[in-house]
Amino acid sequence: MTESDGIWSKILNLDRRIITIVAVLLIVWPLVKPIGLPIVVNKYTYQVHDLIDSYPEDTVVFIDNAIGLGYFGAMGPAFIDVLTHMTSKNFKIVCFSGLTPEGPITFWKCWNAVPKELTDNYEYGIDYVYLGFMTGGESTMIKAAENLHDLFTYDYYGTPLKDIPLLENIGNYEDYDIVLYCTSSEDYRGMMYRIWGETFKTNLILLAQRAVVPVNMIDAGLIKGYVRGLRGAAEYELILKRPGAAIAQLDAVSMFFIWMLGIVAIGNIAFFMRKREAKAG
Amino acid sequence: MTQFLPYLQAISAVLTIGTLSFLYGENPYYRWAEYTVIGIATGNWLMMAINAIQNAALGSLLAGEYHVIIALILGVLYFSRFWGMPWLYRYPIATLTGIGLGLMIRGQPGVVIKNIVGVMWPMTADVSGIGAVLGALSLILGLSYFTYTKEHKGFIGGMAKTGRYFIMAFIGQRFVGEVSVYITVLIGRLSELVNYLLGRGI
Amino acid sequence: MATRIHLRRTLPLLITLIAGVLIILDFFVSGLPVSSQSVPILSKWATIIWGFAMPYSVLTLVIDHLKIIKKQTPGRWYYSIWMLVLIALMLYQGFTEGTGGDLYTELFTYMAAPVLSTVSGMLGLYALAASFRVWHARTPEALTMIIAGYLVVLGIIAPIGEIIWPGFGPLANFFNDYVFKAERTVFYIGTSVSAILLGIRTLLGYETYYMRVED
Repeated sequence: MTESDGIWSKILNLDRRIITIVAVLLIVWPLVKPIGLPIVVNKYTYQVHDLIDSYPEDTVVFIDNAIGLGYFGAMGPAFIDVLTHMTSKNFKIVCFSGLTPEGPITFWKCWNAVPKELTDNYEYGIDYVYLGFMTGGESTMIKAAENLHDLFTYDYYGTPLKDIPLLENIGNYEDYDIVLYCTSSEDYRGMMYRIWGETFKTNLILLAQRAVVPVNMIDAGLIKGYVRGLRGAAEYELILKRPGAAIAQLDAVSMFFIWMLGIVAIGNIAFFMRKREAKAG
Repeated sequence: MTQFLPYLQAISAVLTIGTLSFLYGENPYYRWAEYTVIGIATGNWLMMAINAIQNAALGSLLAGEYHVIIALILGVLYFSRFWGMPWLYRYPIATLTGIGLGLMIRGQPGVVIKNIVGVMWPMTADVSGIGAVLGALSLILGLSYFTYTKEHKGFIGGMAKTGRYFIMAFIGQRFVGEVSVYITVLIGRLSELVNYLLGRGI
Repeated sequence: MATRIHLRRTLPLLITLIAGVLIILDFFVSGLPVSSQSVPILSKWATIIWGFAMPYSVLTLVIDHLKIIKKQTPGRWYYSIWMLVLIALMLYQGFTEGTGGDLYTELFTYMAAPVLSTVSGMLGLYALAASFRVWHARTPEALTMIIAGYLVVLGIIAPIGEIIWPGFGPLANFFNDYVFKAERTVFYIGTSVSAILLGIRTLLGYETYYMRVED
């Protein structure tokens, strides 16, 4: 065995722990000392922003918040940005959490992170209401679309729905001008396309983790816009001119992927060099 | 905010590092973190479920919708294993399966048809010549790879082989998309940890 | 004997069929009283029945861990005690101050969320290590896969790509808008058709995997 063979084999057998620990260090570095890489805003983020902007004051938004608390770091900024935009336009907000029991905690965490100058104008029960978590999966979504008052008897605080002024004339999909679905899980998107997109044909905006936009669903007309996780949140912050957590974290995404692309390239070089030398040997 | 907040914030930092220690190898520190999350999450899910049942069922009963009693009985049948009649467990499962399948079967064909139409006649994308042709070609070639009724030989074989390249390109894109999903979660968590350790506040 | 079989096997299958057919009928045939009146009821039932699944799972978990504590399984029983204490604490807080209470929220936010997010994130790190070992361009197809991955990372996911070369963004978006969209549709067609066929088979009673419980 030649010395070169040894080197390439050693590279290919590099300990997994070294790869992952270097990745963690490269992620932490820009979080400690931000680099400030410029971000190009994607047309799909503009599409969501322009769609929300096109609606007038008092537009009714129905939100299904299915962001798990473990995914708050990745999804939270996007939801906060969209809520910031909606509250700046004085939209009426009706929110519940189907599918994840952590929804109530993430909703309030996001709501409390929206700038105070916007939420101070919002009165609970008149401008916004949070209904809480409800089990049932797809049937809950159907019920929320067909008859909200049949699904929930009380809101999150135990107030009967009939005593909430905002919900006097709001009860089904025809009353929702926009439906915003926020999810940190891939499993439930199929339900959402079927119910909100296909069955009830609402103006559905999807907020999800994947950075690659599901263009097939947009072109199918099932969703009207897509905010793509942390990258989408950073772009949204740029459009709103309100820099926040997402922009700060995107440098770490770049550092991680530079490392990933780098070691894949190194792995391929080592693979072919070892193969070539094995043939020559 | 409670008086326990500073201690809980410190515990969250300790738990994060404990979980990351699994990268080095299985250890008791990680195990403690794992059991902590199972305990807290399970307690939360149970509380939320109790509240949800209360919200959905109690209100309906008080409003005179007595049919929910059947749903409550079916729900209780989940626990039939504990009183020696495990076959009763099939009833709530059968009900949920029927409802779920009905909802899926009625909605899914429309979604699929719209997807196909969306590829051929996109509503939002600029129909640039090359892109639209490439998209239609990609759809047909990809579908031909998954067609098993004819052997992949000759013209069909050529189509399937070309379709494989498009499918592999999609899988490559999908893989990095999945990695980005998980890594952004980790970055969010590490960001909070760094902010806490540097005194920037969570 | 026949009654036993009907109660334990036939009746549940019949319930699945009736529930499924009513929901499908309501969508495709408008104005049918039997389906239009029963579907809101069935949806309500599903919401309530689903709610009981969680307490059942929790009870099973608690019983399993009580067995571990009773047996004093080495290396495990003290973790089980810790876990049960935490479940009890969350229930106590939930019933006394409610699920919107400060301490309840803080317990979940600072003791569960860090671990949940770190565990999910570690999957990304393991995928990274796996890609080093596995993503080798052994065949032209594998090379295509790697190139597509590189393009999407540099053009869509990481901002640094567009700093290296501004063309990465438009190129990646072009492929996403046409090629990947079509392939996503291919997979969607495949999985949807399979799901619909499996659903129909289950409704008709040919698939009974969901009923695998001891008699």
